[in-house]
Amino acid sequence: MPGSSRAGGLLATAVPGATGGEETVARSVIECRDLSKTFVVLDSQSIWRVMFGGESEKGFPALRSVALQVREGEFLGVLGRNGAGKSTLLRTLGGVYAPTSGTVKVAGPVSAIYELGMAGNELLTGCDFARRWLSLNGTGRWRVDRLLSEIADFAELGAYFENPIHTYSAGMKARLFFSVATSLPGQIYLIDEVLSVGDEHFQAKCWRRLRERLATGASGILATHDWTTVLKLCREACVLERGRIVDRGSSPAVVHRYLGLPQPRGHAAAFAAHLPSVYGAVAEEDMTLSFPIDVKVSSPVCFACSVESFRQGIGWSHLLQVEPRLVASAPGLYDIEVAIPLLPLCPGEYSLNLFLSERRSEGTFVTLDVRSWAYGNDVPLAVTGKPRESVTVLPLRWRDRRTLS
Amino acid sequence: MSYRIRVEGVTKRYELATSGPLPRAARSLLRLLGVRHRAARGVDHKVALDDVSFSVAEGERVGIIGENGAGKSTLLHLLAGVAAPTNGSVEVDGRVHAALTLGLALREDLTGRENLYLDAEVQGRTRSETDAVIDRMIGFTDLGDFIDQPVRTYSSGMKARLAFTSLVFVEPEILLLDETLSAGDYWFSQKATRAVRELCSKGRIVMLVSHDLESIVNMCSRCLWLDGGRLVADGDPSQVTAAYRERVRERDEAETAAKFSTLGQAWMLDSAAWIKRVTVGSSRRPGAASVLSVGEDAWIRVELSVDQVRDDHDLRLWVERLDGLRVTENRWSESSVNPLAGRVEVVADMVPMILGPGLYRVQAELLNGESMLATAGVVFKVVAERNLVGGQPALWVPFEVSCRPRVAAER
Repeated sequence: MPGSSRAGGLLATAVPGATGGEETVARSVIECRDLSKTFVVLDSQSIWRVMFGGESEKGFPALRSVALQVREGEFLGVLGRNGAGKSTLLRTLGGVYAPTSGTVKVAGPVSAIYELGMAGNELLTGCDFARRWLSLNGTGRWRVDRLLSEIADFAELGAYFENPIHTYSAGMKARLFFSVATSLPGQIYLIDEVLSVGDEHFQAKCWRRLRERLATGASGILATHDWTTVLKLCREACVLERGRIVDRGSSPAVVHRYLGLPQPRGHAAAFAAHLPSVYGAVAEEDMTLSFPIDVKVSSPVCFACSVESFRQGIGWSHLLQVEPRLVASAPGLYDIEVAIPLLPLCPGEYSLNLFLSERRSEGTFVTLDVRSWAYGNDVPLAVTGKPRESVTVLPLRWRDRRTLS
Repeated sequence: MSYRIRVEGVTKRYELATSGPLPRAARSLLRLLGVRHRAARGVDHKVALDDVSFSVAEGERVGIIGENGAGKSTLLHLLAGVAAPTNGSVEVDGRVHAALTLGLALREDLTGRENLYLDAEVQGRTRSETDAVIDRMIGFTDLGDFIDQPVRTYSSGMKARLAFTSLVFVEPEILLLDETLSAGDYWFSQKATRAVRELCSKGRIVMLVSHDLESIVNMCSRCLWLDGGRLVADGDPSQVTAAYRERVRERDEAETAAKFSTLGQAWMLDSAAWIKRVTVGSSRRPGAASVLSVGEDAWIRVELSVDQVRDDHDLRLWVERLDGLRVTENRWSESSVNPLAGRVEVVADMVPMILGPGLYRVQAELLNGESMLATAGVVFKVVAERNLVGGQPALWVPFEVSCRPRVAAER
């Protein structure tokens, strides 16, 4: 989806112009070519050979000629299932592992959050850990105190900030590490699965901070198996499989191929072939959309739909959702009408996702036909109207002012 | 009725070492000298479970809920025999298999396959019994060639998958699960949830600690609610979880109010124009609130004071989700031409409030043209009784869906 030039302003904390979609070609901050990493597999024979510097024929190739490039001001998503080589890739880029072959170029200070654990002394208190990390990253003493109080605030550890790290729960550790690693702006972040920890409130804060950092020129790599986080942060993504990059492109397209959802055949019920190729609506006015469907069976057919958006600086957001509703239970041609009073969307382009499913007796749904970005066939919804500096608009009703005594 | 698990009057007290004012060496010296002051002990107590009693019969699937630190994990530890109660008795009759921390029992230097065999033997299976299911087990792990690599080469997700597999195939009589269903990636956690459902349907006792209330309602026949180490409710999952939700909501309200009372940034240019306060509330309950429910009628009230009457004064309201998503921007001038002057109160109604669950901040800005004169804000939380089917949208808009047959002439 094209990002609008106003996109920067939609994020409350964005610095105007910093995210700009029409920038000149940014320099690349991470670049690797033909990167391979092979781990030596030790057994009773090879261990002697390896000890005396010989070549071992047994090895496990964790990365195989990986080439990627991250431009300044962008996060690249790396998707892959467990064991695909995501952690190895990040560690190799971060300098923890030396590559077996190939080149890694990283232009700038790196801040890495590896799988919820950083190299660190667990006997240190949270505060000492943060202090050490900051001084390792070259922060002057006069800045450290201010940053420390910011870190303590963000991590919400309270008095625990002065306790040793080994007394922390996993969630507390994650909070500390995230707060410390993202305390300095303008760094190159290497993030490994960190955003799935902590409670909802802390996750929201993490997102906010990452987006802030992104808006002020941070860049990096987000490695995860959770495709939703990639959609939220990254414009481009690639898929790692058995150490190889097997797919790359814009995030929604990559996620669509990564999920590999089988397109239903539409035998039992389907959206009509003459479904409009684009729908239009006006912001803050009543909207009615009509979807022709063709039902060929006499079982309960349900309809659901959602409106989602992909915008630069905000990423994927799921905005509106209609839960499955029974629309037909006999064969025939039907028109489904969806009415929303005072459409709460701002002008822009959205993705309309439509689902037809059959409700089984046990309350589960069997998908019959889909039009969705996750299947690569969503329907655009173009909203026109008065521009606003937000993503959505609530239908607020102002009462007349009342003078206070 | 015969009970397989009987817990009577159980109390568990942990001693916490505190990092007091004295270094450890000085403390032990003082203790040797017989000083009994708290500073010398350097030890605090935490009562993790406080006089808990219940019994579980054959075939019961018990969900355990409660906030962090309520004693849920301690209870499972006692049932598993990892810890002993300080007071009271725990009787368990049957083979217990506990997944308290996934992957704890894996031997790093053995391969995945060897770990599966070893674990089965620890559980009392013969080698030939394991041989019969080993291929199915390896298929379930989805580890491919990695199964013959040492476990230390696995990533954390792969370890979780291996550990979970050995758990499912042991067919335990009593299964204790601590928040383990989210292990591994999306595909695996789906498979894990299905496997646990199957175990449940075989009539085993399953005790499941989870924060996911819906899965408790779906999977359990009974629900225990622990609060501060005490058992406060024991009964039908949907009733207990509903009561728990209400309590969490009340506590949320107090916490949100306390935590974010300072977060609504407020400042003004001069005392000629300022915003005294911003409050939100529900039409159902009197007064201001910090927690609202999706779909109820709610309002945002701004009290402000402007000395001079000027035409280009305007009030702007932002609503922003705490992760930075700007949900709305509305202006007073869109609805009214009346100037804002004197000490006035302005109310914006949200009928109904369609924000999805989450934390939000309302920020009111008093504008003079495009420049800001004063601002103030407040944080509130939105909760929902249930999750929507098919996703968690930012806005919960009431849709109307109708369907009518197409007229034959149009065909």
